[in-house]
Amino acid sequence: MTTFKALMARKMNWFALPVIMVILSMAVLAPWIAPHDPSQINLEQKLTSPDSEHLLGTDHLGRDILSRLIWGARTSMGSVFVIVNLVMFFSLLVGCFSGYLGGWVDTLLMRICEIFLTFPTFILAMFLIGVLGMGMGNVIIAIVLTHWAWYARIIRSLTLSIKSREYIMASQVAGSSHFTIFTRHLLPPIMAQLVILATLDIGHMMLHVSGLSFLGLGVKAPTAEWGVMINDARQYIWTQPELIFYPGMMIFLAVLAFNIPGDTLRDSLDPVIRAEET
Amino acid sequence: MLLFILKRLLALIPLLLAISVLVFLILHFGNNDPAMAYLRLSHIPPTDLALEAARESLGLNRPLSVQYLDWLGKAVRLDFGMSYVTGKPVLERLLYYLPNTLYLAGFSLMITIFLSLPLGIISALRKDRWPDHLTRAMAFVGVSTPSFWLGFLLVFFFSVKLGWLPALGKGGITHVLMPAFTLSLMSMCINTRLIRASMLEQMNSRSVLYARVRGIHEKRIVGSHILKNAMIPVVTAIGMHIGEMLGGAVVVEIIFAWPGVGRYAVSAIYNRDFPVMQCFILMMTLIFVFCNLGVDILYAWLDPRIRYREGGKA
Repeated sequence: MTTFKALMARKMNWFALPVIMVILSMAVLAPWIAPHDPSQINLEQKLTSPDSEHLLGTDHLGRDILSRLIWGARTSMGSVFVIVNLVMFFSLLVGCFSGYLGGWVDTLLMRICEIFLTFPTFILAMFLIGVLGMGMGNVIIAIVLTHWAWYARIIRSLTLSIKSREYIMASQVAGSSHFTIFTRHLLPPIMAQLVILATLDIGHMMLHVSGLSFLGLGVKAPTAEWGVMINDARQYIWTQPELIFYPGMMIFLAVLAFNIPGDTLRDSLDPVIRAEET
Repeated sequence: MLLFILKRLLALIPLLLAISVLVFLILHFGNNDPAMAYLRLSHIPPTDLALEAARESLGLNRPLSVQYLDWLGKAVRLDFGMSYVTGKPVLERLLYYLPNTLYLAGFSLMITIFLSLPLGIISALRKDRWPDHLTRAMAFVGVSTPSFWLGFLLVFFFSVKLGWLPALGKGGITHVLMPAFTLSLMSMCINTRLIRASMLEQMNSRSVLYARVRGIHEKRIVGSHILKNAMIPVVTAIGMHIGEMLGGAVVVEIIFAWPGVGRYAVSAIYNRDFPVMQCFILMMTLIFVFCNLGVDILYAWLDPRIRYREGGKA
């Protein structure tokens, strides 16, 4: 509840939270609120100006822009949701094991993390998609594989710091098993921090997904996605610049809206994490 | 100091080996058949016989460890194989495009540094007044702007509407302005925030308080007490920015039809030209690793505490 109060105390969040709500409801309600089928091709009505039937006009294949924008929210939010959850799962697994067990397990896991951290993120993601093949599933795999190590390392230092706190030692002295200590005393504070950390990164992940889609490595042809829409509209910049403007504005607003509360949440991060982040 | 550099260089060797193993394994276990890709791009019908011959000539039916060692041995001698598409050495082609990418990334790094420094410093010195609010709002907008959108907005205003700057390709200084700005905006905004935070932290430090007590002039405090110490974390961040820029350059090169390695690599991905992709990732990672090493050395030079701590240990 205190976090919620902190969010409401900053004026910028009064802009961000409604925008997030709108984008999330677009994502969830897309099939019911989109006026047209987003992949319905109608070559007789291509590149039309806005009218009563197509509120924002149509693209080069006669598809309704507004519907594609709404369905694009579903693609973006859906993929980011999956990515964030997978990243949290793997990093929690690796980070907790590493930090709690220590010893050679720790050394080995951290060496592996280090290897992944050596690559420039976006380039490793590109390479993975190049090898695995294009498509949203592989984009998700690529982004998870390029991001888990950052989180795992942070979770590890957090685990180490919490492990040495007095209440854990008290629990050990009282004879609790490793399992009890881990699930009752270690996991809850780590999870709380991890969720905040992941929220901070949602905007960043969205940029990654749409960036890869823009390069033509993401979703397959008929699926509506904001990055793909910009790529499709590239050649019409001289005649129909608004085709580039709309989807870009959606990405921009969505990323901005997720970054703003993230900045408030940053204050409630554990100092151990804040030190790791920089 | 020399010992420190030497140690860092030696530590790189196992890391680079591990990277090469990982890249090799990813290529090997990806759901693709290099022999198939090779035949398709050479326009040979993929019959069983042709596939077998291609596997033989590409050396794909030897044990994995032999393949790896052979590949590594060649890579060390800078032989990364032939492109499936052109049949010419991969490295030669990539080295042909590389200077363009380095030019773009270097220009962007300059923009990042020279714009974020004054903005971050002003923001910290005028904390909670209008220059600070303005800078922070700008930083927020900057980190949320997708580069592929910003690029097109710039093209729309400066090329389509105003006709001031050329939209595509590489040429004089006017050609590099828009791509470099597009590439640098994200890092610039992150850096501005970092400089501001770092300056504010130093301003509250005891050494600054003591300097004030001694009655040292405010300008001198800012210049020699705050600024110098505040720069240390900013220097480390430069390594991170270079990594972002190498990745971001791919997108920017596509937008502005900039003839760099990123654009070449994307076309290699479309063509499933594996030797090019492999050489590309190794090249970019190597650049990234050495830039980070340079940053580390700079950091150790600026902050003797690091040098002694790490130099003292085995």
